[in-house]
Amino acid sequence: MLEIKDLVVSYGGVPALFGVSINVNDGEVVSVVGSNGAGKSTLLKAISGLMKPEGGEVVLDGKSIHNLKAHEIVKQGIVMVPEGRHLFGQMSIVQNLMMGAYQVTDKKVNADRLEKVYSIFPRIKEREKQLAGTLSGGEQQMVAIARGLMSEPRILMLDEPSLGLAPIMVKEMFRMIKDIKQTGVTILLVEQRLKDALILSDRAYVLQTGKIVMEGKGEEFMNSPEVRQAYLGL
Amino acid sequence: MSEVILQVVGSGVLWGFIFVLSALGLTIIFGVMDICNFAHGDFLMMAMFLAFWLSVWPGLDPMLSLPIVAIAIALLGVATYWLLIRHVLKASGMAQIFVTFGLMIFLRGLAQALWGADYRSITDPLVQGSWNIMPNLSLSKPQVVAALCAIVATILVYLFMTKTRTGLALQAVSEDKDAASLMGIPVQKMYILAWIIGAGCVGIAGGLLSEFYYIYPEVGMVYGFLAFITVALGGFGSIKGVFYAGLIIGMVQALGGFFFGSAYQYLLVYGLYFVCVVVRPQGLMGRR
Ligand SMILES: Nc1ncnc2c1ncn2[C@@H]1O[C@H](COP(=O)(O)OP(=O)(O)O)[C@@H](O)[C@H]1O
Ligand SMILES: [Mg+2]
Repeated sequence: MLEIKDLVVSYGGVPALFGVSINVNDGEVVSVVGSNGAGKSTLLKAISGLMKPEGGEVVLDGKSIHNLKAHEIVKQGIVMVPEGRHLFGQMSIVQNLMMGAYQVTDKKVNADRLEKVYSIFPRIKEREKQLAGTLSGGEQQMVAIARGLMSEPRILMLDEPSLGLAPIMVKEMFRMIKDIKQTGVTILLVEQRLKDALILSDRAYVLQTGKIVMEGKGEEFMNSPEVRQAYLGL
Repeated sequence: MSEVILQVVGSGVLWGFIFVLSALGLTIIFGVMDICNFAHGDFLMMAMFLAFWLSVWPGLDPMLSLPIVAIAIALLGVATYWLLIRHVLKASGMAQIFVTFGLMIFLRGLAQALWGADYRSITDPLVQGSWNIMPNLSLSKPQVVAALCAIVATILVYLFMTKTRTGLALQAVSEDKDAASLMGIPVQKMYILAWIIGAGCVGIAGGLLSEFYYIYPEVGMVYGFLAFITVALGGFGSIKGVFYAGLIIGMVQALGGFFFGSAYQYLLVYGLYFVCVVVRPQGLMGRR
């Protein structure tokens, strides 16, 4: 469904991705793992239209989409939940969620979607009137993911959803991502937490200083001595 | 004595609402795109001249030509965004200042060249005279009407910004542009909308002001700076802040004029602003 071909992305002339190719099939959970600075966020920013690639292609269902602006990418059914959550802190939770469905004008459809995301994240429903900036890190991450789901994307891209969360929250977060997977949404997950990400994923790529260095099935990765040694420290 | 003070405060409050409306436009543009429009006061001047010339031909009173003036100045705002601001959005803060400062000088020069430095005023305005509310309190009718219009416009803008989907999207852009675009909000369209609302507000303020105030090329200087001070005192980007700050400034300048003479009325306002910068730099309702 989504194909990234030889993607090159730079910051002011300094490349951060050197020809990255990955693909994501319908209904899959694919993770891209790699250490800090590997280029994971850059990859998602390029797919979501926040950054323009210098080379290569992003193809969705056979159609080139890397020249679209960020808000047009959302229209194509691809949504990114950015690293660090980036909620609208001065707005309430429910207002944040409404912004997630900005392109939906039908009030009824909006109300249905709101109910749907609340059923995945019941904890945030109780606080829907609270300002997003006043929530704990874990709650903020839930709102950020819920906000992303409000557009009912075909592909949900999550940039390090576990970043900065308490260990117990991390567990819960991955359980929720699993729930979302079960609703049939295709997920492209970027993580530093290799183990949790791999358990959840159908396939995975390892990104290292802007290049894909390894690719395989989730469980293959878990059992691969190389990966265990290089990334799990086992 | 206390009745005189009441009179002064009453007229100050009426002025305050005009300040609120003209500063509202500035704070919305600033909030949404972090651009300080130094030509804001000269948008007001252009609105006043337009209202004046429409009263000459086809003879429409400023109160009646208000929608035309509002739309024309909103378009001036869109043109400013499209021809100038759009190209310096990613440039340094200094470049942005030069662009709107240049526009300020250009508009002032244009008005001088076209219409000369004369002071004009509307002859025989539709609304004139004053109401005697109490024996010692009389309020100028055009000022009361202008204040009422300003209140209505301010409330409408506030409701739009806080209750509608598009208004919330403007707020979202002002908080975090990238996150807003990731939600499918078209950021550039929101910028244009901010200029339409921002310039439209100051257009209405100018139209209202022209009913009872002198019209001349430099008129934007005082009102532009008052708008900046209102925005800064209220807290950059805050709508509620502008509301309180505008009323405070309206009263302070009226009281200043009464106690120290009109030459010093703005000095007191600057004094108030200076105290605010020292004591509470983020303004009354500022975030940081
Ligand atoms: N805004 C930026 N300006 C310049 N360089 C950047 C910027 N953001 C990231 N980089 C660089 O790009 C590379 C990849 O960063 P990033 O995609 O954020 O990595 P990751 O998300 O895997 O931690 C790093 O070398 C980083 O220093
Ligand atoms: Mg990152």
